[in-house]
Amino acid sequence: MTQKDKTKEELIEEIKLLQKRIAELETVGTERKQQQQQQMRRLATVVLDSNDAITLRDLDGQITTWNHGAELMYGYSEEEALQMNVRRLTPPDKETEHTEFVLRLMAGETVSSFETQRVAKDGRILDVWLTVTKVLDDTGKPIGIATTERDITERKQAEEALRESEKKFKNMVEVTSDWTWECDKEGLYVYASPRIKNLLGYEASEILGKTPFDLMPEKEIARIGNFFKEKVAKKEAFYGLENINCHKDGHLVTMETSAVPVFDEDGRFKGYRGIDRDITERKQAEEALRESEGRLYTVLETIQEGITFSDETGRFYIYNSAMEKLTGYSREEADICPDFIKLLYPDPQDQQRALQGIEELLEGGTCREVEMRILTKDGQLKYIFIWSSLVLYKGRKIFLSVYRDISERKEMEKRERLAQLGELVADMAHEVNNPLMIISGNAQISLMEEIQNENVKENLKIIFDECRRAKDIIQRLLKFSRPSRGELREIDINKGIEAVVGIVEHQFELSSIEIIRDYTKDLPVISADEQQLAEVFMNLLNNSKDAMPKGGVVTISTSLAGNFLKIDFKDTGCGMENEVMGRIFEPFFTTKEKGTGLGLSVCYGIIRAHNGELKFKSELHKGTIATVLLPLRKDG
Amino acid sequence: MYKILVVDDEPQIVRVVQGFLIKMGFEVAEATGGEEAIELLRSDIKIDLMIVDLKMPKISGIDVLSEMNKLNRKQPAIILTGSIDTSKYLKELKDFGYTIKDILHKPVDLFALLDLVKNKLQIV
Repeated sequence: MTQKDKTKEELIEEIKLLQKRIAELETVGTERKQQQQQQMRRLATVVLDSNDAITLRDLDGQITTWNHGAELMYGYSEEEALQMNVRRLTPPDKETEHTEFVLRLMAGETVSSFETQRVAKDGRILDVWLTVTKVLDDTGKPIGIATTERDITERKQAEEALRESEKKFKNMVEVTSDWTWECDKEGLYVYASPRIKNLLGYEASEILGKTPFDLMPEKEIARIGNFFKEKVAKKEAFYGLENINCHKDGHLVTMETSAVPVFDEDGRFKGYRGIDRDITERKQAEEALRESEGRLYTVLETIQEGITFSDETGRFYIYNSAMEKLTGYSREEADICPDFIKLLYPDPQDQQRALQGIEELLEGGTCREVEMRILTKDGQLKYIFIWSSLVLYKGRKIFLSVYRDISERKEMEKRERLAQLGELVADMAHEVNNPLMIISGNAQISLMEEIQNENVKENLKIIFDECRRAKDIIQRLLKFSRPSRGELREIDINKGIEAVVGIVEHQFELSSIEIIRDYTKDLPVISADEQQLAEVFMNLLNNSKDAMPKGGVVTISTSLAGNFLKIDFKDTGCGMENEVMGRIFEPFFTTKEKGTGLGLSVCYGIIRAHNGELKFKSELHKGTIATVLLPLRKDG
Repeated sequence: MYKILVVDDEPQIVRVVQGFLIKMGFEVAEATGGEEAIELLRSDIKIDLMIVDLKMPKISGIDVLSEMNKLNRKQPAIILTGSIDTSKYLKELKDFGYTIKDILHKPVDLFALLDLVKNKLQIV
């Protein structure tokens, strides 16, 4: 259709449509404008509220826009800033950089972001990250520069600190004698400090990609492999794990490993990081110490002498088993005893000597040797020889003492002394018996004469009687010194004792002494001289009686004790002091007014001649136990 | 009458024993020491019993008994000794036919000696 062809109506209609279209377009334009304005407002808000400094300036550098972020960052208010040139924010050493970058920008180069520095109002130098945009007018001509500046001072400082810290750790890791490492989750080394060279002879680079097991001998893998696997499965840390590794040259190195699991930011297990320390020398030293301790222990426990190591308070650090055997007291008993000296040494004089000895040592004496008597836990009196010295141990004064049991030697000496005495007595007996014979014989012959004076007759009788007494004494002396076993017969010991008891019982009754018989039935017979044994029993019973002048009880018991028959005579008498006890077998030693001092000497001789033993246990004011041990016949 | 030889190196013992035996009605020959005793034994003197000491200088009682044995003199003997431990002599004494019962110890009750003398000589 042409324009000519259009009717007026058609044209009007067309105009209306156009008008409507225009109106529509106008509406759309307004909306778009409104939308644009809205967007601009939003953007302005972002710019204004941003924590980054967002500024605009003209080409002369005069600041035209200054947001809140810029106020916070540089300390200038918007009002102040709008009066300022951007140069005020540029540190002197950055001015050239600034000029250059403006020129480059104007020349059409694209300069987007770079790091630089700014001066704040208070003079602080800030590290900033700069993003630059050219501002153009509608014709595309540059009219200014917009920048977004972010304060990265803190980040820079943190980075610097991190670098410092890393350097520090690196130094430490490289300087420390321990080897530091890191493994990935497969157990492969991903980091190894150079120290590995000193520990296992490898370069750090040789270790990377290996696992800890690659460095261990087969046996060691078998030993600790499971432990490792368990720890790794649970992702647990472990400390001080001892493990043996092969040095590059083949020798074994004991290491102590501690490690912690490492996780990434998302908590995923990354592997382990740890430290290994060479403890070979320490282990060897420990082993040597254990060896040496073992040797020392063996020596201490094997040696026959009692050995103690104790301080001033009486605490025992060493108290070997020979000492336990010697005294009968265990180390614990000795430790808790408030006064071990008093317990051990029954004789107050010995106690005094022991205390004096300690004092002497403390005052600078070197060492002491002294002979003492101790009372064992089971009541035996033993002779011991003590050697003591004061030693400094870890700055403390400690007494080292060695106790030797010399009871046997003492006993032997006593026996030898008695034997010598016996010889002497035997020689003497012969010499004395001849004159005695002459005296008594002459007295007897004289008595056969007619004697008017009764006094003379009596005197002669006395001479004769006393000669006989002298003969008795000599005979008994000989019996003790050279006891010859007479006729040996098989003896039922209970009957043998009973024969003697039968003789003395009446006398004992008169002295208000009760005799209690505690015989074991059916004891084996022994070979002995019945008469000599009877003399021993008589002597022991009479001693008991003399010990109980106000009456009391004697208990006679017989029993088997190993290869011996044991006969105890236990009284409730006055008992003996240790001083007395030590001398009872000495001939002529007596505490009785009318005693010869031969009774127990004779008993001792007789029992020895029977290869038996005669022992005494006594407690003052409580009583005495005399024990006779007689050997059983070997065939029975 | 029985004749008894008393041998001892101590003259006073010989004198006492001799005095007693004479009082008791015996005849006594005396020897002070072993030499004298052997001299007498070698003579043809009649002896019914010998009382002899054991421990004497030079010639001991054992020597005397040995000599008597050699001389084939069969008379009994009593050993009177000052030593109480005679066990070391017992074996030799046994060789000559003596036992522990033939030994008396000084100082002896003279009447005990008399009993043994009578016993040896079988005097009731």
